[in-house]
Amino acid sequence: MANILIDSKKTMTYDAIVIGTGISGGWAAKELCEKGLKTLVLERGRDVKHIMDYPTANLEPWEFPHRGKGTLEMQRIYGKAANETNPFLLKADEQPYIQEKPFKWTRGYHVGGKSLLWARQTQRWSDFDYEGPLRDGYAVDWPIRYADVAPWYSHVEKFVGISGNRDGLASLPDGEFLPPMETSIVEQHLKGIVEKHYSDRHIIYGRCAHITKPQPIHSQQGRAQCMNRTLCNRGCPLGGYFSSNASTLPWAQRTGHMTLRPHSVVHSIIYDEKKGKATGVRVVDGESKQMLEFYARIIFVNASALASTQILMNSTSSRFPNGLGNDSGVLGKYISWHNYRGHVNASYDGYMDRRTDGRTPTNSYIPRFRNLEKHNMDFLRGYATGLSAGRGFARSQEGLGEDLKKHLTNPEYGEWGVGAWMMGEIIPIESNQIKLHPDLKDQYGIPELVLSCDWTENDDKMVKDYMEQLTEMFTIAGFKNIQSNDSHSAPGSDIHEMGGARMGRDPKTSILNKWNQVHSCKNVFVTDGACMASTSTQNPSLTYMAYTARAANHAVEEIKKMNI
Amino acid sequence: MERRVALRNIAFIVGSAISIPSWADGLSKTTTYQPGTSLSAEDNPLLASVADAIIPDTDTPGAKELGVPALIQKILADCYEKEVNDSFYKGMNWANDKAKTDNGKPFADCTTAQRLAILKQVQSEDPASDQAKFIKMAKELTILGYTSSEYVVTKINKYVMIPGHYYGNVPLNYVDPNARN
Repeated sequence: MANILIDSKKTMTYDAIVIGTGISGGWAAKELCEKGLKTLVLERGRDVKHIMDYPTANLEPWEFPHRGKGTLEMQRIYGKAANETNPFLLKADEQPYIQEKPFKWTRGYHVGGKSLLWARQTQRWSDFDYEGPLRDGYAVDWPIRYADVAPWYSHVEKFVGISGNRDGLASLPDGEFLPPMETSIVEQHLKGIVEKHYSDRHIIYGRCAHITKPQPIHSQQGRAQCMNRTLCNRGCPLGGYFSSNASTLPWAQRTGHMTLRPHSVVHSIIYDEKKGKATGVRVVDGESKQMLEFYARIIFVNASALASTQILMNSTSSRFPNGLGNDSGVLGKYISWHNYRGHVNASYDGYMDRRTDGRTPTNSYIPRFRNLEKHNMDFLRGYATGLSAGRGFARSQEGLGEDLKKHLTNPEYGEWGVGAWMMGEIIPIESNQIKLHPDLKDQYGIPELVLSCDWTENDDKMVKDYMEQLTEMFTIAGFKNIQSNDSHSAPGSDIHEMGGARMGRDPKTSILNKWNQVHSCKNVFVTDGACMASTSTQNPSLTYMAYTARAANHAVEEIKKMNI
Repeated sequence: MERRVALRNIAFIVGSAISIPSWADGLSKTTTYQPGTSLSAEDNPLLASVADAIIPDTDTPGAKELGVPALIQKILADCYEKEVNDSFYKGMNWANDKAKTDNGKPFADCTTAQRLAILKQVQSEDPASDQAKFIKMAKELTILGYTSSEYVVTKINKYVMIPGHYYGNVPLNYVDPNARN
């Protein structure tokens, strides 16, 4: 009997465990497997195999039996928002959470996570972003700077395939770019006017994780050029955009070192008091609900910002009664996200003899210009802007009968439509926090999360300035019918939740060190959104990928040095 | 052109090899009309005449020719609760009764002008009434079915699944050599 137990423990033992298969988990899997570590990759949801499990990817609009509407059965399982086109829905009862204040928590609980659902925008941080907290004193100073991350940005960008233009802006460093996508003539018009009028504002091609010119490294992944289907969130059969499913996971699989285990809900990390380090994870099998244990020398936590923090909070021991690595008491605090509340739309009647053709998966981008070189606004930090302009048929749904039909099939093009959306930095504050509910547990026996996050006056001021500035730029460009709107959407609607286990120089005020290692439990690494000490304005995925590759490299070096 | 066709073929082959995962069970289970919902078979001519009135066949196919009435019935049965179906049915019958009162014949037998007159009256009813909700929904679903039909998508909108490009600045009369015709 004893021998069987020893044997079974052996089969449950790996060099590394990665929790999660999204953007950052996929990178951890790839890097660790490539470096020869026998790696167990845990995913709480079902498997999603590239191409094979994209059932709606090649369906024409009329091929959906309900033309996209979710059936009652789907609504019962996935909630009212269920639709026929999206195969990556979360079951409504999968993981209840308590909103002390409104919070929209979007989760991707399947292999690939939110890398199948993301907007694929990939902008680097600069030192203007890293130095924000040090300059104005809100949140803690980042223990790293751009120079620490730059080579890792390059490392991941080459593999991912990023289309972009080398713009030479200090606020948004250039990367390893494939050719940029085009933008429309009206976006170019706005660019010309804005850049002439303001010395500090630029309109550039949005850098995105789409292959515009496949390199050998992309062909080796079996990925092809983006064909502008813009059906990205159904899964791309061409691998035209980057996802864990199309890229890092099959790459890791090919090394022969990866074991991927779907339906594995991580309950907690096992801490060995004698060894003074983590030795493995407790997993609830999603199907049998049995508790299992897996063991490894290092653990990468990549379950997504809030879920990773939840796992650390639920990992209690005599050494860490308040959650793994939580000597400082800041675990679960300083939750932040991005402010996407501001929208400005307009129309334009110039270039009426021109239009666009085909479809674009990306947009124009205005890098942050507020409080950049020096702080001079009545709010802290700044915002970036997504921007697009296009032209469709002048159609309406007015009337009935032949009138309606005429409106619906009008072959004449309308005026240009222009839309801009805000991506603002949130100041992390202590009271924006998550905690475990003392009594309520989910179907896996894991305490439910209680979310208490709210906007601050700084956010309101920033939205106001955003709407004013975009209105001003649109006015100068000659746009008409300019309408600005503050959506007052709930925090989390941006799907960029961050923080909870922030990096920092001082273990007294942070959870992770400059290598994304838990200060007080060095063989646990957290490299997803939970690590973020501040948010800046950039879409965060690229930065998570760079941190993950950097941390994985450090982990392997530390193993070699026998430090962990 | 070749590239597009080749890609479409690859996509088709890949697509046909898919096994439908468990999340999609609902697709096959509920796609057929289930007894017990409030739309009975004899409602079909009335529903068809309503959809036909909303988007008529002209020199191009309208709702009726594109099979929109059957689609509406399916969507109502599969995607909406019984109460919504009941209200829709009541509202539709209200319109039918109105036709009989005003024109002495059922809605389906009315002329185009008579049908439109009745539907416009229905639209002006109290928004909370079954009849106002019925015409709002009937119009919405007819437009959905029509605009997502293969005919409108390919012939009117010239949608192609795989454009293979995005050009930000072309003349208004530019014709994509790969576009459907």
